[in-house]
Amino acid sequence: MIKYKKIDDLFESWGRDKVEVPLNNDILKKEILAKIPDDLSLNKKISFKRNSYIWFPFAFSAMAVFVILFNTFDYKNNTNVQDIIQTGYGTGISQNSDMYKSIGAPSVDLYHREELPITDNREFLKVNYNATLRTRNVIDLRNRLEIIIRGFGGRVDSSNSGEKNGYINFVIPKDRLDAFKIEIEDLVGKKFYNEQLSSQNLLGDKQRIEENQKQAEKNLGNLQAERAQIIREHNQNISSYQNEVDIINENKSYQTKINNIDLSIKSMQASLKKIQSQDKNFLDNVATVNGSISLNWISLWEMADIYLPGPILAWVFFLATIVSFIWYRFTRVSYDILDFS
Amino acid sequence: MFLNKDDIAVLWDTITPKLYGYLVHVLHDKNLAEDVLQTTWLKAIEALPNFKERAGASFSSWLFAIARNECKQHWRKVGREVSFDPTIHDKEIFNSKTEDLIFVDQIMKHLSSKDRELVRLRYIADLPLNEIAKILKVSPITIRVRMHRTLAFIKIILKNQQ
Repeated sequence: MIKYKKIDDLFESWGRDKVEVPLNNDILKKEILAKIPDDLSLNKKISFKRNSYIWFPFAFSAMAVFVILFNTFDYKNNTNVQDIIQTGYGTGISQNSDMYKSIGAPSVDLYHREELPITDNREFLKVNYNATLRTRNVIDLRNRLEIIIRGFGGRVDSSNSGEKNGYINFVIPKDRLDAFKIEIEDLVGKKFYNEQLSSQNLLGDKQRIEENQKQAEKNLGNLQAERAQIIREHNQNISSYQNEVDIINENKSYQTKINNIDLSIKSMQASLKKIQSQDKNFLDNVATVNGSISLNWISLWEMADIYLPGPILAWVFFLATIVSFIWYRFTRVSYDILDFS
Repeated sequence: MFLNKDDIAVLWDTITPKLYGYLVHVLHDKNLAEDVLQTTWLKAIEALPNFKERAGASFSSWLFAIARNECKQHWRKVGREVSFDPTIHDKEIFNSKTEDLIFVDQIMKHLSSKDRELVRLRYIADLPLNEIAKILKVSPITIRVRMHRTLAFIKIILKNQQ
């Protein structure tokens, strides 16, 4: 029977057989001994000792920052990149009116409304477009925007720009707004584009103009009828009067009346023309979009923040985790040697 | 504890034959074994200030641990561990002097790589089991059990051969 002791002896003998010195033993030994410094000491401490779990606190910090910041704040509110479309009914304040200029652009007025008949369902929507673009080159972008606005048949009303901020006020035709928005968005990319659209039905203004026009036309008609009546009365009186003095007096009276009524008619016609002009201006106003674009400079840090989901600090820690882990992983073998005791 | 060049020379003479024998058996190539041997010693000297004699671990086992890692790094560079191939490796590695020892070489081929490593460290490196446990980063009990199982397996092979 084979005993363990015998096997052990056999393998010990085999092990001794395998032991041998290298062919270049003396040369190798000499080389190794030559590399030994004179003050070699086993008790000498090395100053740097690498922490093999350095990646762990980074990973923990990344997770903590992510959880805390993401839950505490409404981080990166998506409204930044979404369109905000506001619509309002008939505040009756047009942008060209004095009231608009004094109180500024009316926002959505859900509570204060001029009483408009429900039967009138016409819409005269005045659209306002506001956008904020973020860019690394504000001045260059402003120049390009001006070219685009003019290219769309629009008009630049005012513009200014510096290194960090810029602003353009403009008007463009309403029917080209959609194409214009796409063009602007393509300039900087969706993530750096924030737009706000508001529209307002100016039916109240339109109704007032129509009312004034109707009234003016009615007045004009009345004046013209009155004039015809004066002429008719004058002709009757002339045919009935025998006395020459009466006829002279009648003619004088008639002339005065006719002059007065003609002046009134002329004035009324001028008013009517003015109202028609107002109506045309109103329609022109509704057919255009008033816009403003703000340009803001963006730093590389902010750009990274926009592109990365979640808090950027968490990503910094996450990156540090990966780098430290990879560093540990690729140098672990030699580290294990140093740490063996 | 201070070491001078003479101490290292003594350590070289004591450990190198076992270490070289171990490396030749692991790498199947004497030239490569010489290279790894040299690198192992250089790394050991470089890291010597960090070596602490603790829990009975000897300089010898520490050196073998470095040598094992050097072999791993070599295999990582070449992509895989190369098994013995008589067409490319040194044939005399398995040319033992007596019939019994030739028989052991044959038995070694039947063992798993883990068991082969255990046998090498135990019999070529002549290391005690608790130091082998440190090198292989397992508990001494595990090493004892594995050693026992390996010998039992060898016993079965021997029985079948008879």
